[in-house]
Amino acid sequence: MGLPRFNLHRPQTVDEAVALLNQHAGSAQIYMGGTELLLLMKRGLARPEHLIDCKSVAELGELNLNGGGDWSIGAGVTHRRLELDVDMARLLPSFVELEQHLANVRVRNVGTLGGNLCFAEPHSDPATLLIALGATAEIASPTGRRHVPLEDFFVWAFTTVIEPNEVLTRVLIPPLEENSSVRFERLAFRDRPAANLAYVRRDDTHRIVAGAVGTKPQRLREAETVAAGGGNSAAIFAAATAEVEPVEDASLEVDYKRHLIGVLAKRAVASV
Amino acid sequence: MTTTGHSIGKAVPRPDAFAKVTGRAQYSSDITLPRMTHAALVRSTSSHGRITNIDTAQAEAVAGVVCVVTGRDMAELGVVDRHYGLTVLDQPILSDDLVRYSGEAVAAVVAETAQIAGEAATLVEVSVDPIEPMLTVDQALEGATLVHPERESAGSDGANIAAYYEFADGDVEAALAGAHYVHEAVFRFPMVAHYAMEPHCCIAAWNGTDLDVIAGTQQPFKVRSDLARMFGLQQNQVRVRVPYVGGGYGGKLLSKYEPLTVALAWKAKRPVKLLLSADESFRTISRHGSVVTMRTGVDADGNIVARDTRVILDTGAYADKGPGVAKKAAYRAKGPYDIPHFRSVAMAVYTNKVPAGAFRGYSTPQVVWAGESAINEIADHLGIDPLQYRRDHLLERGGDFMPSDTPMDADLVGGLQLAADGVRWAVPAPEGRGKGLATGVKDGGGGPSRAEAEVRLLADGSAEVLTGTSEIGQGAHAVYTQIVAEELRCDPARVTPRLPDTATSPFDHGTEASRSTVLVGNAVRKAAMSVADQLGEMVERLLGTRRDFVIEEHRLVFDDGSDAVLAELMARDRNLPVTHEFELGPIVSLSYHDTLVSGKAPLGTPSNFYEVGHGAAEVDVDRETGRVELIRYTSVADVGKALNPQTCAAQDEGAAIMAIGHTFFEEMVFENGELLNGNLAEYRLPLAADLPREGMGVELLENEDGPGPYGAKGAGEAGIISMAPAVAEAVYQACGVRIHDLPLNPQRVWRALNEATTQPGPD
Repeated sequence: MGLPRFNLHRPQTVDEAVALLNQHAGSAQIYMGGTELLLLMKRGLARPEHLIDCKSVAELGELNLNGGGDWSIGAGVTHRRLELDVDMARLLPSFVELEQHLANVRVRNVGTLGGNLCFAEPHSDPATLLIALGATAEIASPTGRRHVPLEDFFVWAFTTVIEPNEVLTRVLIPPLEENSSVRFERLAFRDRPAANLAYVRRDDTHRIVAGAVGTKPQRLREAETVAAGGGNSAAIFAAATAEVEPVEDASLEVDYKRHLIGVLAKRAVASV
Repeated sequence: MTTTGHSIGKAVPRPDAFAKVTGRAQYSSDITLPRMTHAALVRSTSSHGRITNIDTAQAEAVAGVVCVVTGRDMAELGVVDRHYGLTVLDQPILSDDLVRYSGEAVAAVVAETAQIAGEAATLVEVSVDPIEPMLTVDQALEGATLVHPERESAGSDGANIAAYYEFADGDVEAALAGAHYVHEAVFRFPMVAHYAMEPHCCIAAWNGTDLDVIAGTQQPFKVRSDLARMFGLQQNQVRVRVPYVGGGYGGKLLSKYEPLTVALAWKAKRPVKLLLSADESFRTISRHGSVVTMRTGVDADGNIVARDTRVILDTGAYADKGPGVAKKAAYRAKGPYDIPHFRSVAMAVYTNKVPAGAFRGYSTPQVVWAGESAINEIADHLGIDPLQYRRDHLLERGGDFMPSDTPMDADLVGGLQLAADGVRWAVPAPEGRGKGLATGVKDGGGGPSRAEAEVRLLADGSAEVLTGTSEIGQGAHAVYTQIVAEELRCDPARVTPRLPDTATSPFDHGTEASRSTVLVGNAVRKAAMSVADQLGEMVERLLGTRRDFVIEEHRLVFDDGSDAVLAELMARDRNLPVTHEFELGPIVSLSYHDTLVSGKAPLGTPSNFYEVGHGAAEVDVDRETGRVELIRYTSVADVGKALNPQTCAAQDEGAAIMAIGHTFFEEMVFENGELLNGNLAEYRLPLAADLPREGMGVELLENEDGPGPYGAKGAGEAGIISMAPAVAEAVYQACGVRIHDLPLNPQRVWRALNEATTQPGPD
């Protein structure tokens, strides 16, 4: 079936977008690349009466490397722009490599980072790495802006802390110190990843995040402790498999997902 | 035999290529008729039950809706017989009593636009009294409920059997009892989707009592015959036209939605277009999932003395081609070996799932998955290299594939060697990698059939070739133009193939079973030779002597370099002034080719030829994740003679790529009868990234030993047959586990590795 009918709005500013959302709360959706939303609408799984197309909101398209080495990525920045950004290739090559393998080039050309995060499909690569990098989400609401650590952004599969009258405006990535290490591991048996894992080491802090296997990305704190203590591969594997909380889906079972996270954790830590 | 070389054996550009790559080629979905309406289907969400009510009132009230049609309308519409199929006519246009699978169409909305029809269709409420669904073949054979209660089970092995076949010779039980070693295993093959890029599409229009149908079908004359029977028409009242078809793979054989669309057009009193979505094509037809139980006995010298095979095919809710698929499964299960004692049983079992029908290779991939895996395991048991074992035991040319049938027409060992060479068989694989191979054989060309072709040489030296072959992307029409050009000694670019139209095209059985190049091709060649003869005789009448010539544009160029304008020769021959060129008409021939019939042959008709596909694989296995990566693959197709080597190789390569799907990841997943992954977001199809890292090799074996024109055999299915057993053997060589269930997805391989090593985990 084709797309059902809807009203299309084209705000020019974040405030206008928030006002529209507020006006049509519950029956409106932000529309950017449409790579997920339009599919759902075609299949009758989503029927928003109002689509709020924010592609003309300049602020959302801003991609900035700030003087302190921190990044500000507008929610409307496409995967393709991230993939091709030369500064990012220099400073965050793991993120660029992740983007290069995200879905396919047609999706990357129109799909946005914000769309990926807000859709909260559990099989997301960017979410996993960004949480490990300590990224923060900036959210605009009718009463102003608020900041939420990305680690606390995801509530459940397809659910985030964003309220129906709020807009994700940007993702902020703190600067990486000279001697930090970033590793992203991914296994994909289809378009979306079957399991992914990010490992970020900055000085004495170790962050390990597992994704794509549960309802949302998960910090593996035990594995982090083992890594900080210089534990061997078997210990990392054991810690990661013990604490990860996968859920079964149509193609993969829990014990296998658990095992994959153990393998990825072991590989990521060993490679740093 | 004419010496070839004018256009045969050359990579002549396809006549449809330019239109297709520039987006100009016309498919059914591109066509709009005046006053045309659009249909959308209402599909059952229940997998088995009795329809108690279909409430259409809300849908009918939607502005722009023309009508809503359910099974109850059929009698009123004067449908003579609402059922269709092949040997078993069990599928209704729209059921008005039982629904038999989740996804079955139970009502249709016709509206001014597809959008309105689609939205109104969501307003139709279908009430169903549920009946326990039969979701697996085991459950169905036990028969707590019957999918078709009005039909008797076709076999004594259980309930719900749609068709049952057995081929046997010798005393298989005694031979197995006396065997030195008996290999026994159960092999499973998943139900998979055809996924042709163009979903099913049909347009139907009534012109008074005559019917005009445009459809993306592989079998227009079968559709014509069905429509005439079902709607009480003479066949000459039914016209079926087939524009370019965006892929078939067997999923567009027989009637699919044509009878329904015709019924809708009848009630709407306007032309109706029914264009499915990809999701709906997933719910239309599939390849049979199968369970093959096989016992193979060998003597002390390794000779195969007996093979006992039992094939259970999940045919889904309607028979479609299932009975034929079962018959061929039984026929092909023994494999290309000289086995004195064998018994092959195959049955198609109804379940409450998407129907299964014809699919590239028919049931050969399923039975070869079992048979060639067994051969690999037997060779391993005997400590013999699997290539050497096959060298010793594969049928020789002239051997019996089946008793009283066409003798083996191929050099099997020579072909397999080519495949082995492609993966450097003699060089041991590095650590973590393995190599494997397999040989698959099917009878090619299908059952008894007639193929006709008409060739017209026009007075300006251009030509037309008319056939009933659907151009489904395979390139058959390119081959026909080459055959005509070869015989007329003209440029193939000056020969135009005509797409099927039952009102004007010569008859053909259908575009299936790798039969077009061989059977229709023979008819094309005969017709072209007849036109060439007529032309030669004309030249002889006019010049007083037989002369060799070629046709260059509108002229005949003779062997001494002199030339003459064709139209002028034709005018002189008919005593017409040359100013009347348009009166000349064409030089025409209509020819046909019938398959042989023999009462002695096991299938009633001897095999036209054997379609042989050898495969050799090299894989890398990640023991930690179970992921298998294809490093190299070589497919060898024995094509007799490649009339167009480029399209021939592309066909085989396409078939092999399709096999990557069922070998590594493809599988239709059901939960309580509902198809969970029947859409392109969730159903995993082969991608460019899945191709072997070091390259996919395709070798064409050309011994000019086929029954088709210039020694051709059929092509296009061979490449899909042998990949799975070749890869499974390579996985075993790499990591020591035997897997008997497809697909070989990472989770399954990991589980097998886990079972093999008591200590799972890292390092």
